[in-house]
Amino acid sequence: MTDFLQQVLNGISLGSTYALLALGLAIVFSIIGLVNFAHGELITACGYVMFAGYSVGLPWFVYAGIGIVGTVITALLMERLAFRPVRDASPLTMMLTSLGVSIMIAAAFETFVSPRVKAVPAPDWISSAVHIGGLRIQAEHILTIGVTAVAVLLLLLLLKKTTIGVAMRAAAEDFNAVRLMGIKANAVIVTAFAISGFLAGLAAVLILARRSAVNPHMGIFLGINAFVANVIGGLGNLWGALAGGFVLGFVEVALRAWLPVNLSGFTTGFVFLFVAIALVIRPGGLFSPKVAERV
Amino acid sequence: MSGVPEQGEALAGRGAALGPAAGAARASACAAEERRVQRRELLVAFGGSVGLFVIVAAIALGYAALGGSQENTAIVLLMNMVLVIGLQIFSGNSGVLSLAHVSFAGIAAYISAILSAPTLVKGTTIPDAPFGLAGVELPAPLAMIVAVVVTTLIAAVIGLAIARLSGISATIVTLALMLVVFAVLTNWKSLTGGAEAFYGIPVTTNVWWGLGAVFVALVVARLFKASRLGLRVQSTREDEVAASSSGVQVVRSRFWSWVLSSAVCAMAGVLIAHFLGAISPSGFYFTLLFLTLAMLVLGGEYGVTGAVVGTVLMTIVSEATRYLGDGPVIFGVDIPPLAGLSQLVQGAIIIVVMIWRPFGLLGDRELDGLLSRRLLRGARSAGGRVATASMETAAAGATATAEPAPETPAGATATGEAVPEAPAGPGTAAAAPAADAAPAAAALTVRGASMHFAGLAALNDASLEVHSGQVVGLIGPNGAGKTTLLNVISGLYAPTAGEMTLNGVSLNGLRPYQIARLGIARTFQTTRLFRELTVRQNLEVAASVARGHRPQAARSAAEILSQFGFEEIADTKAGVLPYGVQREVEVARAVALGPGILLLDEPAAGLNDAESMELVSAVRGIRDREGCGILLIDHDLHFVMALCEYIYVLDAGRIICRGAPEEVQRDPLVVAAYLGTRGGEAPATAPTMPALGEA
Repeated sequence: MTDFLQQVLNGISLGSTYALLALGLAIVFSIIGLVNFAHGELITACGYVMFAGYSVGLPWFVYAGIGIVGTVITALLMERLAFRPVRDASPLTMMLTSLGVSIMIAAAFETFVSPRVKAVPAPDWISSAVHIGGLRIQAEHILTIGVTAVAVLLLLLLLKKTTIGVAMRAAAEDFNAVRLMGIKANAVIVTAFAISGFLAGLAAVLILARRSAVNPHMGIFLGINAFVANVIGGLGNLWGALAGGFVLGFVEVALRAWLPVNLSGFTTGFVFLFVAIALVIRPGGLFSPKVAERV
Repeated sequence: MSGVPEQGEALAGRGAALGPAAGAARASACAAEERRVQRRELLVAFGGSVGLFVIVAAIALGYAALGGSQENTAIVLLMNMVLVIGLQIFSGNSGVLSLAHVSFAGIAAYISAILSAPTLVKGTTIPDAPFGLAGVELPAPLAMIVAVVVTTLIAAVIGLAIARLSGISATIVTLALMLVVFAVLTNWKSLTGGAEAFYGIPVTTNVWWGLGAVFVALVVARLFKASRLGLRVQSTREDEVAASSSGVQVVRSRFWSWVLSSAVCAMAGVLIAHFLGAISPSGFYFTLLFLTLAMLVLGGEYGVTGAVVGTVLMTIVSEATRYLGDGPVIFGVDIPPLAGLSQLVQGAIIIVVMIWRPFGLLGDRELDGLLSRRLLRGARSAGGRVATASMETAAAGATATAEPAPETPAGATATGEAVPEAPAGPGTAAAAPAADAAPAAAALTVRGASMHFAGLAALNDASLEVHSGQVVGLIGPNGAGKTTLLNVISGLYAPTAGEMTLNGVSLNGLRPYQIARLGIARTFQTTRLFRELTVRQNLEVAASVARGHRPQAARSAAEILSQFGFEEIADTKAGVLPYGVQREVEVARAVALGPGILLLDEPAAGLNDAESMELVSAVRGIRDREGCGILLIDHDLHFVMALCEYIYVLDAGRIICRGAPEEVQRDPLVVAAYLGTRGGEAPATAPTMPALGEA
């Protein structure tokens, strides 16, 4: 029973980071229809900014903050340099562009920093833990879940209470109508990328607190996981993405905990097999109703 | 035609010219003509692939002649080319980006490796291989064939599921697939040896093997693209809805392109295995995926020539970056110290190409296309007639080929002459049942169709029928459910209730492509052409379906082209044509299906009065020539009154009135629906209702 509760806690914690990533991806997708393959590279970017901060001897709180700022800037640069020129192109063109961005960012760190792992140490208190019953609750769990809850709440406020937030929700329904209402398209899109960068930055700080190291290719799998969460929840559906992130976190933790040892190598294989099958059965995502295309 | 009163008689007069004998003769002549055309096209495509092959062979052999590492580079170029061409067959034609084809190369490579590696080596590397594979040692060529066949079968099973998906969902599934294959290759240690290199594979691949594979890949890919099946796959890439409404079985055509392309990629995989002599799962992972994608994207994924050019250019770029990175000269095995550099360049190339040339350097252009178009242009301009693809010429072409044209002037005669004796009765409920007596004549019947969207009734118990040779109008205010009814008839929506039949055959539960194959063609409110295909190809998609499923009604694309006066724009991409012409092409595509029933969704939208009136005679021309029944939607009363013999009025999902135009015009319910008295505003004294005299 305690084992089960422990795994649930781990699932919530892991799911939280996936949810943050998935939300950022979903916001951008819902507005410009871009499936951003380079979303995971935002984490890598955050990692290297933090690594730079650590190298010059800054304290964790400071370089974590700089890392988040750096991630937002990276997201904005991506939008300005790569995605704005293809904004009106086909989804395939946008997707390939983002794949190019993803390849480039990873390769740039590999070429100009190092292909090797770089240390980004987290403070000691993060791995400290309290024991309640048999349950081991780490500071990292509390931090992850707390940060995610606050971030989601802030996002909710932004979307409901601010003009730009309302414009973003409207843009997700019908972008052209929003343009006609006199809202600047660029403002909406830039805000979306800024949010996705901010959420990715938060996720990156939390992930790096667990891993304490960054390498050029760490982003791609996290990005793929964000994708998978979106797919589970229905592409572009914000709350679906959130839920998808948690589902993915639980599935991964469960497989890792209870898959027979000789099959443990197949964990990712099973996750993606699950995703593939789910998508084939429900191409629109698990949580979204089937929508007929308007003709 | 006995027993068909009123409306049927008009048909008898018009349809007589198309007796069954004439139809059969036409069908066989058409089939022979088409076979000739198709054979020529395939021949040209074959010539093109041979031409491409000669160029590739010259490059590869010339480079290989330098010997040493240059020879290896040449072989790698050829193997990558096979892989990229294989990917092009699926992704280029279907428009669905696949990330899994690299994995098929990997699966094939491993199968061939495991089958052909010496038992002595396997005794130490994979002694516990399942199925007793550790004791098997096939000669390399046999192992390669087995590997390609088995991989293709595996791909086919997966393709059954993937072909059902389109767009981003499909791509994500292929991504998942790639990760699954990697996980299996890495973790099924007893079979693959795990993440470490599997060695001991007989090294047999040389330039000649590579060239042979490139030749096969080129011919297969190019012929597939030129084939009717290939054309259908391309039509699904351009517009899935329009493709299925033109009779294309989307899933099936996509499936076959998937299988074919997997087979070619498998071929590349076995070559790679027997070139390197040692393979590892990471060799068929992101690095190779990114490289092949960059190659495909750079040249242009819609074309085989693009795939070839992209591969050659990217290989040159890779060589250059590798030289700059000063890495060791072993291609593709291990990541050299500055491998980041070559990926950096690949990423940059993909981004730059996407921004400036999303269709790559060559787009869908092919070597043979460039050559043969030049030849054809000379031939055509000799006997070509001047046609300025406008509504005018379409109408002119229409009347020119029509046998006897009973009512050419569109003006005063319109309603008076075209409408056969209006059925007796006061124009509403009693009107249509007269035709019920002769079910054979009512080509299309809809009984009690209802369609609910999440509780909202877009259609409520709507019934109508369309007879052969008749032009029936469906009018109603915006949101009345007109297009919904069309979508229900053409199978895009499954109605909540109701029954539809075509010549007595039930349409309920049929897919759009099945309904199209039975002879119900349609156009769309906003045109849905296959934009990147030429006008000729647009028509050919539908015409080829007609040949296969309704040979007696089929006509060649060439015939339709001249009928609509499209000769001059035959080889123009549909997407670049002016709006009005696009609408015509869409009508022509529907006609190319040889329809028994033609559904036109607001054909007059966006046309001015003069154009609308030209359209009136064009639509009549089609009806006269094809003998088909036409159901058209519009809210331009003027237009509908002038053209239609019988009119249904739809309001809030219900048929509120039906009858001859003049009856409908007088009906108070219609006046109310159109002028919105229910809303409270006072109706202007019906000024928008056209008086019959001026119609």
